Amino acid sequence: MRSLVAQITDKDGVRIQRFNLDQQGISIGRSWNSDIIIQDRFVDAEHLHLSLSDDGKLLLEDLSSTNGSQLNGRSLRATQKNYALESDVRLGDTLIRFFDADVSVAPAALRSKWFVLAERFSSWPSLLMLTIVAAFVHTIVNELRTTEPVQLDVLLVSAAGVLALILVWSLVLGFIAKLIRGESNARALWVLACLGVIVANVFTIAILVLRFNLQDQVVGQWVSVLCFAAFAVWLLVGTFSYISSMSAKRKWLVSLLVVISAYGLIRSDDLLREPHQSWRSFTKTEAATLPPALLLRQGVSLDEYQNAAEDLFDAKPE
Amino acid sequence: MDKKRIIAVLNFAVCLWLYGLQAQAQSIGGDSATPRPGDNDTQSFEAYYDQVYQIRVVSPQAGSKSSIGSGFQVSSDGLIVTNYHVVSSFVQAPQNHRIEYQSHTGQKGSLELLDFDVIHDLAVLRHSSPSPRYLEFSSDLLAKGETVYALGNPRDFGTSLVKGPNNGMVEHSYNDQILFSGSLNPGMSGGPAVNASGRVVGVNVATAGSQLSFLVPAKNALDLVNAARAIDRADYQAEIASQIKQWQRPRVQELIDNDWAVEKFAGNDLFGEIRKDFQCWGQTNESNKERDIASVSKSCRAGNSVYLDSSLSAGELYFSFDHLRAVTLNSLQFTSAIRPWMSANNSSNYDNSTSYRCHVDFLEGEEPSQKNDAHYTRITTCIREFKKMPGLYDSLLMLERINGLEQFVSHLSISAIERDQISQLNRKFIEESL
Repeated sequence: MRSLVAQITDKDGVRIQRFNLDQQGISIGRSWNSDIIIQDRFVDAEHLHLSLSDDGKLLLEDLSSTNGSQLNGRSLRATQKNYALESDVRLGDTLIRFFDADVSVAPAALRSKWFVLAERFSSWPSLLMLTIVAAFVHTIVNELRTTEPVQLDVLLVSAAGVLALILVWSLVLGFIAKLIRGESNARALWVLACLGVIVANVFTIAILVLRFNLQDQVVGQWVSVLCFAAFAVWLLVGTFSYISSMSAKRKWLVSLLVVISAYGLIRSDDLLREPHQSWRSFTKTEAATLPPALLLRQGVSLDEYQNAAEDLFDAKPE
Repeated sequence: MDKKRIIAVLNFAVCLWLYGLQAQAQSIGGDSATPRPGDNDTQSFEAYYDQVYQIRVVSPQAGSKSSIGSGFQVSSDGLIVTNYHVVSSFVQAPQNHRIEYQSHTGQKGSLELLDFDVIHDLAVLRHSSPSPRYLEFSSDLLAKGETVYALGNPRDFGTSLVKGPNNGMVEHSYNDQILFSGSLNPGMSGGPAVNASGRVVGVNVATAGSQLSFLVPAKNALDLVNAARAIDRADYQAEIASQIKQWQRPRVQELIDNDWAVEKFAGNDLFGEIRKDFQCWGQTNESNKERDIASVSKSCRAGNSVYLDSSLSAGELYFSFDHLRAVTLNSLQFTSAIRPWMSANNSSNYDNSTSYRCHVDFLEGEEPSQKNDAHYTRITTCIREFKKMPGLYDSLLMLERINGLEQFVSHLSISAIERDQISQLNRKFIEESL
């Protein structure tokens, strides 16, 4: 006697039934007396018979059903056929697979939090809302940073631009994901792109306000670099989660390496420059200028200011 | 007004011969000071052509002259006066240059630099084989309208005489400079300008084009000759620094101490031509109907600066006011359009100046009079030091007063000043601007 599991897929979904099989066998059909009941109008009351041979093999037999059955796509006749575990049996609109209950199942797959994130937006209304918010945030932030009067067509172009970007991103990466991971995850990539747009724009404004209040070009530049590097790593790790099957550790490592080398490449020109090449006859100070409402730091008195400015004279020549 | 120094630099030897209209043949004899032509003697100037030497700074590596100017002998022992800027490339890099002369007859020889005055743009050189004849300085006051005869070798074409009236001292200048209405051209720098009796009244120095030329008064040249110094080449930079400091100290102190006359700017009590050597210009973009920002600006500049080299000048004093008002922009867009950076008004480079270092902060808010009167004042101070002249700094100052839709900027740019005076002048400028 063997303990087996039947996985039955019909129009209502998948159901699992465990049963014991001996030489006497079990009946599969629409009849209420069947051992495995199939509720499918194209299935006969007594449709299939599964039994165990003396030497322990599984034998499957079609009981001259009206619409017949298929084993792995081949028609099953009245004769008994050997059944190999996990093969597809089709009867009517129903698909059955048998598994050995004693064979241990695969270890649980790791459930990445990236998929939890994507599934928060699994319904169409929430996905649509997220997309609208992303386009809106991007357009507003873009508009705040221009020095031109607000114009409707510019706003529309900006919104359309970011939507096109999200679409292309999802399609291209979705295609790559299909190749690498076997599933496109286009919807998850879409969610990631929308979130990325929102985060990047919020960062931009937050950094602008911070740098305006810091008024220190060197520190300000590092704030920008570190914030956007962190953002880029986050985005890359998310992307790798959807398009590849890398382990969490590997994802972070690769993302970090990509971001660091990209930054190094961008800055290499500056870093390799001789001191006389970077000499300028103009000043370099924090460019960020914002309205009075966004000034959060306390001002100093003129005396304090001048005392601090005296240090400029004592600077060592570079 | 943009003065051009009349020195001919390498590759610039294209030319224009100025006919000396009065120059007619007359021989001169004598072996002491050159005889004087009479006022009505139009034939007497020929002898003066011989008195002009072409001064060449030669770069031995290139084997050719890198700049030319003119000069004239002022003593029996062979002292020759020219402009500092004629020999500036030698002063800035003595190891890479030497100074030569070429006389009217084509005779060549070497010259030794004894002394210079970067403020008045003069230099004294010693002639290895002095001529028995030389020019004397005039002791008479030069009358306005009096004819002056300037001699020099424009663009290496040959010694020329240019005649024109003296128009007195240049206005808007801290240093005395004679305004001479004659066409001085490159190469004539350092040549003598004599009066009708053949005495030196000035030294050719610069032109602003169209018969607007400038002479250094003879007194400055005489002072330099009488000082009878010989500066060691190792001390050139220290000497330049000391001359600039000596000149700047009273020039800047006067600005710190004096009251600045009130002039209106964009409805505020400010200042403008704070001394006779300052000139101001203003402009608005009112006529531009498509402007997003309405701007009114005014800039003022002192008439003098010190030329040290083709890539280095010092001593500029400049300030400006800008009033900007958003016409079509909201306050975020308006402030985004503000780019708070400044650049030097004097030319320099890596070899001569450090990079600017800046200090930025916001000034303690005065109590806003109304709720919607929120504003702030940001001050930026930037300093760079002269590498070869320790103790002298260039300074840039910017004061921005920003409320939602209006910005007022006042900017001060001063060059080659010692630190105590920079702090004091900046302080005064901030207080007068607020």
